[in-house]
Amino acid sequence: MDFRFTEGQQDLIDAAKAFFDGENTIERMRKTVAGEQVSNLWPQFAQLGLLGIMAPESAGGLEQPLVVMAGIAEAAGYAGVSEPYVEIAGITVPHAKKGELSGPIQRAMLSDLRPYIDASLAESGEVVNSIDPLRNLVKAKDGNDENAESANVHGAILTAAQLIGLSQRMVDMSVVYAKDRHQFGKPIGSFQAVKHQLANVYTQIEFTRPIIHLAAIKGGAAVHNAKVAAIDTAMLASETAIQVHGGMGYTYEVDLHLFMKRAWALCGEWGDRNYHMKRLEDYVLNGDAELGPGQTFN
Amino acid sequence: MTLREEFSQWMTENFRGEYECLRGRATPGDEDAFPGKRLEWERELGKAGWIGVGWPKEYGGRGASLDDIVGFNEEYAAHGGPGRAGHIGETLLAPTIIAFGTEDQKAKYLPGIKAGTEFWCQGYSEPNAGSDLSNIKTKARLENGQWIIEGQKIWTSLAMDSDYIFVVARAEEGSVGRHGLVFLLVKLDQAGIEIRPIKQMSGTAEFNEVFFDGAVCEQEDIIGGVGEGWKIAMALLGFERGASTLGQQMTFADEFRQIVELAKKNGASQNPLIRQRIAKAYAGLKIMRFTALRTLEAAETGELTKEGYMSKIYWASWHRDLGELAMDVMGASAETLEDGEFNKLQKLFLFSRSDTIYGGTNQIQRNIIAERALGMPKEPRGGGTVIKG
Ligand SMILES: Cc1cc2nc3c(=O)[nH]c(=O)nc-3n(C[C@H](O)[C@H](O)[C@H](O)COP(=O)(O)OP(=O)(O)OC[C@H]3O[C@@H](n4cnc5c(N)ncnc54)[C@H](O)[C@@H]3O)c2cc1C
Repeated sequence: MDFRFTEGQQDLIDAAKAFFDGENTIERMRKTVAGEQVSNLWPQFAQLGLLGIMAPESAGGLEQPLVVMAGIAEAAGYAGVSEPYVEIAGITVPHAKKGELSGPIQRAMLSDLRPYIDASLAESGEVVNSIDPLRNLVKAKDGNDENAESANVHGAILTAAQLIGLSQRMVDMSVVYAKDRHQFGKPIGSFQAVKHQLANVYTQIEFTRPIIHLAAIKGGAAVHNAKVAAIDTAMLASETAIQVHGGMGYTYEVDLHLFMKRAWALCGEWGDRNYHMKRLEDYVLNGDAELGPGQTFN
Repeated sequence: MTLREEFSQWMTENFRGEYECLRGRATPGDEDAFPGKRLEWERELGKAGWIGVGWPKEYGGRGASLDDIVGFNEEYAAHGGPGRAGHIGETLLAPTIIAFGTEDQKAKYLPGIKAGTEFWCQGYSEPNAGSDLSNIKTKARLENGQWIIEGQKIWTSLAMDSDYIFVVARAEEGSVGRHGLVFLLVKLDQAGIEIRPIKQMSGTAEFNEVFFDGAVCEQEDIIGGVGEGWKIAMALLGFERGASTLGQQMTFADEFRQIVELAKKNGASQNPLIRQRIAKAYAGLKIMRFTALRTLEAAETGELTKEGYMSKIYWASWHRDLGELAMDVMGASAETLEDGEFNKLQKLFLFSRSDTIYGGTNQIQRNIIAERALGMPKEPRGGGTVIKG
C-alpha cells in the first residue's frame, strides 16, 4: 500500500493550505468572534475548484479520492476555517445526485451521529450555541439520509483530519511561545519539562495521520481507530498547549483558545470517543477482526 | 450539640429564600454568577460567627478542632453552599497574620475578614514573575512613614470584588531573587491603583491586572520585616495547602456526584470505559481526602510537609481529568451551550484547564518534589525553583 500522495495531489493540498492560511488569518477569526463583517470565502472556494475536489470530472470536478480530501481537511483544521467547507466538499458533494452538482450546494446530510449542523446549511432549526464561538449551529432534523452510513465514514475521517490539523497548529503556537517566553533567565522551551511535552504531542500527531489516511483509503475499522486516535491527540495537544502558555493560555486575548475550542467541539462530532471506541472493541473482540501476522492493512 | 450539628441547623434556617440562587454554585470559574448576593452571603456567615471557625478564640474564632472543621466543611457542601468569596482572606491571609502579624495588625484586619465585610486578593504574580516568582520587579520604598509602591501585578483573582491586596514587592534597591522583598497589606481603593480585568477563555473576567503608580500603605502595614517578604509569602502558601483543601475537596465531591448523576441519566454509565474512569475518579477523591486529613495537622503550623509539596499536583491533575470525564459523559452535547451559557460541567471543564497552572504549575511542582522532597540536584538554571501563588 502506498500512502504517498502523487505530486499532483500534493500540489492540490499545498495550494488549499496556502489559501486557507492566507485568507483565514487570526485577524479574520478575531473579527468573526467580535461579530464584525469578514470576507466571504465561498466565491473563492468555488473559483479555486475546492468545492469540486470530490465531484466527478463529468460534473466539472477533480474527482479526487477521500484521502486527498483528508489532506485538505487537515489544512482547513490548521487554519481554523469556520465555514462548513469541509462538510460541503467532503461529505455533501460526494453523496449528491448528479443533477444537483450543476448548481451551488448548500445542504448538510442528515445523520443521527451528528446532531448539530451549521446554520447556513439548514433551512430552519433551533439555534444552539457552540462552545466554539466561531460556529453557528442549529439542531439537525431527526433521521438519516439514504447515504448516511457513508456520510458517517466521511464525517469521522474528515473530522479526525481537522483535529490533527488543529493539534499541529496548537503545537506550532506553543513552540513559538516557548522560544519567546523567558523565566529563570531562559526561554521556557529550554526546560525539558516543556519541550518533552511538545515532542510527545508532535509524535502523536505524526502517528495519527497515517491511520486517518488508511481509513480514507480502506474504510472499515480504521475509521473508528482514526477518530479515537485523533480525539486523543487533540485533547493532549490542547492540554499541552495551554500548559505551555501558562496563565496566558487561559485568556481570551491570546488566540490559543479559539483552536482549543474548535478541537473540543469537533471531538464529539460524527461519533464521540465512546461511540468509536465501542465499535473498535466489538471489532476486535467479537470475531470480526482477523488477527495475527499477514493482516497489516486490515 | 456538636459544632457540625449547630452549623447544619443554621444552614437549614438561613441558606434559603434570597440565597436560594446560590445553591450549588461552588464550582470555581462560576464567580461571575450573582456576585452581589455572594458578598451578602459572606456577611450572613460572618454575622453568625461562621467565618474563621478554626481561628483561636482570642481572635474571634471558635478554636474549632480539626474534626469540627472537617464537619463544618462537609455540612457547608452538603447544603450546597456557594464558593466562598472570602476564602483568600479567611484561609490564606488570616492564618498568616495570626502566625506572623503584630497585635495591631490582628486588631485591624481580622475583624473585617471575620465579619465577611472585607475581601482580599493575592498580588504575587507579575508579567515576568510567573513560575519564577522571585523575579519580582514591583518596588516599594519608604517615604515619610509610608510605603510608596510602583509596578504591576497580573492574574490577580477577584481583585475587582476585593477591598485589599497583599503584595510582595522589592524593598531593597539592587536586591535580586528572594532577598530584599517585603510583604505589604494595601487598600485597593486609592488613586495610585488601577485594576483592569483580563477576559478569560470562558468569556468572563475573574482575574485582573493591578497597576501600582505611587500607591501607598502605612509603614506598619507589612507582615514580617523588610527582607522577609519571601518567607511570609511562602508561609501563606503553606496555609493554602492546609485547611482550604478540605472545602475544595467537598466541591470536588459534589462535582463528581453531578457527573455520576448525569452518566446514569443519559446512559453513559453503561459504557465500560466511562465506568472505569468514574471508579478511578472516585478512588482518587478518597485518596486525596485521607491524605489531606493526615497532612492537615502539620499544615496548621504553616510548614510545608513533603505531602504538602505533592498535594497540589495530585489534586490539580485529578481535577483536570475530572473535567475531561465530564465532557465525555456529556458526549456530543458537550459542544453546545444551553441558553447560550456554559453549564456547570462545561465550566468545570474550562476552569480545570487552569488548575495545573495557577498556584505553581505541574512542571514546577515536579521540580519541587524532586529537588526538595527527594533531594535531587537542582536543574542547571541559575535561581532555584520557587513555589508560586
Ligand atoms: C485562573 C488563574 C488564577 C490565578 N490567580 C492568581 C492570583 O490570584 N494571584 C497571583 O499572584 N497569581 C495568580 N495566578 C497566576 C499563576 O500563579 C501563574 O499563572 C503561574 O504561576 C504560572 O506563571 P505564568 O503564567 O507566568 O507561566 P510561566 O511561568 O511563563 O510558565 C509557562 C510554562 O513554562 C513552564 N516552566 C516555567 N519554568 C519552568 C521550569 N523551571 N522548569 C520547567 N517548566 C517551567 C511552566 O510549567 C509552564 O508550563 C493565576 C493564574 C490563573 C491561570
